[in-house]
Amino acid sequence: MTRPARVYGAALHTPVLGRALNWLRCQPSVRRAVCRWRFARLAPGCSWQDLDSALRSLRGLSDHRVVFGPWTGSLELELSCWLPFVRWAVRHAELNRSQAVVATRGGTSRWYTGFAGTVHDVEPRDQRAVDALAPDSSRLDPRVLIPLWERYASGIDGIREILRRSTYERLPREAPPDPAAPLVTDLRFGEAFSETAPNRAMLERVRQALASQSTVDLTSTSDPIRRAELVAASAGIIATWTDAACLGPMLGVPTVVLRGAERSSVSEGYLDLARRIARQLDSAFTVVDAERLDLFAATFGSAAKHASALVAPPLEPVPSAGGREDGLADRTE
Amino acid sequence: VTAPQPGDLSLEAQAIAGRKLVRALADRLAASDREIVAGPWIAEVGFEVLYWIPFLRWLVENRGVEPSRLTAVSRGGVSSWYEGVCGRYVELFDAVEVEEFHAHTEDLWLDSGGRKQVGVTAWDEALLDRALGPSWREWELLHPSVLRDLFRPWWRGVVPIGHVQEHAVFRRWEPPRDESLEALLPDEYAAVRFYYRSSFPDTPENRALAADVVRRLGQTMPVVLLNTQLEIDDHADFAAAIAGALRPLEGVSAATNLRAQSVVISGARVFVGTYGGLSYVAPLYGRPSIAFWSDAREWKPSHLELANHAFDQTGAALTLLDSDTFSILDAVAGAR
Repeated sequence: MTRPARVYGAALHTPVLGRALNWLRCQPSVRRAVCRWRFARLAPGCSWQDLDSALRSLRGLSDHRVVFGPWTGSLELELSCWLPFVRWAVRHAELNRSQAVVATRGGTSRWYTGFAGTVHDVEPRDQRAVDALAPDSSRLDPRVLIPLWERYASGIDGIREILRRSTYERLPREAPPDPAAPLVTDLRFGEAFSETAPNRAMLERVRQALASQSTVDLTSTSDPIRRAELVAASAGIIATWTDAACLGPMLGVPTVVLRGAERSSVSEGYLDLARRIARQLDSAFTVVDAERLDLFAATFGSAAKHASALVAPPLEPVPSAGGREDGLADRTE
Repeated sequence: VTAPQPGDLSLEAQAIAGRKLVRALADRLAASDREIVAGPWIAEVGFEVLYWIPFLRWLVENRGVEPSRLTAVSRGGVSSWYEGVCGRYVELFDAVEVEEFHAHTEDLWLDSGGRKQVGVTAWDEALLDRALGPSWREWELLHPSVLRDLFRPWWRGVVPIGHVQEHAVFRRWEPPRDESLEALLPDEYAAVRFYYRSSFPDTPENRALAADVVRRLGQTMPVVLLNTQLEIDDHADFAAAIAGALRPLEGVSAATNLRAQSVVISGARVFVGTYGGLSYVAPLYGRPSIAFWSDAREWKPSHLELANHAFDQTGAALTLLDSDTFSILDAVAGAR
């Protein structure tokens, strides 16, 4: 405990000074100032507890606004980490809609309007524009959270601290999924699928396999909202680790993610997080090692027809032997 | 006054306490010269192969416990799974009837509200008495409930995967041999086991999917079904009514059924079936595994994450397919 904190703590326990300090710290203007101070102190390297403490200080201050953002990182991280965090934080801090101000960029404001009263698209580098969004408010810069997420992704922390501070919900969409719609593809090289000769060959093979089908190539647009619309209108996604791989589960669209032979703990961590998000949102999500596509083709052959054309065999009530064989679905742990 | 148990503490404290308890246990076992009984293992195959056996191997390889002092007690004839880890294997089904085992164990799960061994029970002691005689009471007891203390923080996401990797050693297994069974198997085949469970329930869609998968497999290579006719757990088998599928395990005894399934899996080109314990066994023999589920809420991500890390070390992968993505993968792989 710092010396000022010790002095303050001791003063609180003196009869006269304690009463005065208690009265003072309950005043809304003082509480607002404390909030601003707490948020201003948050910086990359702070702990989850510092963040919790700042958010708790907002409770009961119904006229104090908080600006979340603007997000300037990747869309993958925005969808899987930042957006669920802001949604959670607004509820955790018991903010009313008018208190929650979200600064976005690139037209993603509609993803936040369900829980934030005000959402502004801003140019992130324009600090004056960001500051002007809500004068005298507190502000949570996303850069504060990135090191905390990276502690998980790099294997230092467990995933629980992220999960307990995230609220996952499906993104709004215009129409339900259409199984007859085309597939969308987003096949790009990146951290989880680097540009190696085997990966290039694999992508070429995938493109050839899909050549006879009607597909939509997401790489034709970088506009996040347009990409989300294309994903929402599709029957499914096949992608390397890109934002499309996150959009699929969040829009309830079946998603297959191709993973390269290389393994980075960071991308593995975020892939695992994506699996968990899909699980929570009850969205179909499969991660496949690209090198296993040959096995898959060899195993299931070329005579594929739709399963619906088959007559399902009867169910024999004859369980198998030798001890239980699952053990992997026990929700008690 | 008793010392606080890990379960009384916060999850963070449990992680620290569990690690200390297990390391102290490992030191004690290594320093002792008494025999050690590892078991009885009466829970699921998945936990046995993913946590229990790698944990025992860690004790042997990293903590200096002599394998010759370890006696594994399990069921289904899985002595080969413990090779290099335990000097001796004792089969529970040689000492207790399947029906009695099933009834008592199910009662135990009902009482405990889960399917993990969370403490030494009277049923455990009775099993050890019947399998080993009273002498085991003079031995060190290494009970599977130690896994709960050690790995629960991982299952709950409190600690990173490194916590498990520090206490488990994954190795590819040697295939068990059974010449009479191998004589019944083709040179190249797929080992198949579909059954219904909460993560792959008995629905018309799943029936059709399993039928489609098995039928198509049968067109690319011989299919060997792992189905037996024994009744031990609460799974309902998918009866694949396909012409030409081999069923060499029908009639196998309870005391050898998992061993027999291991023989088939270890020689297969690929395992295909429901996501469950057997889908983990194949990669441990260096065989690829393609497993299906349809209800994501019914499985634990932490087990899959660990499996992916573990199987990177055995050189074979588990590909877990959500049934709703099968048609996408089908199109992408160019299998049509």
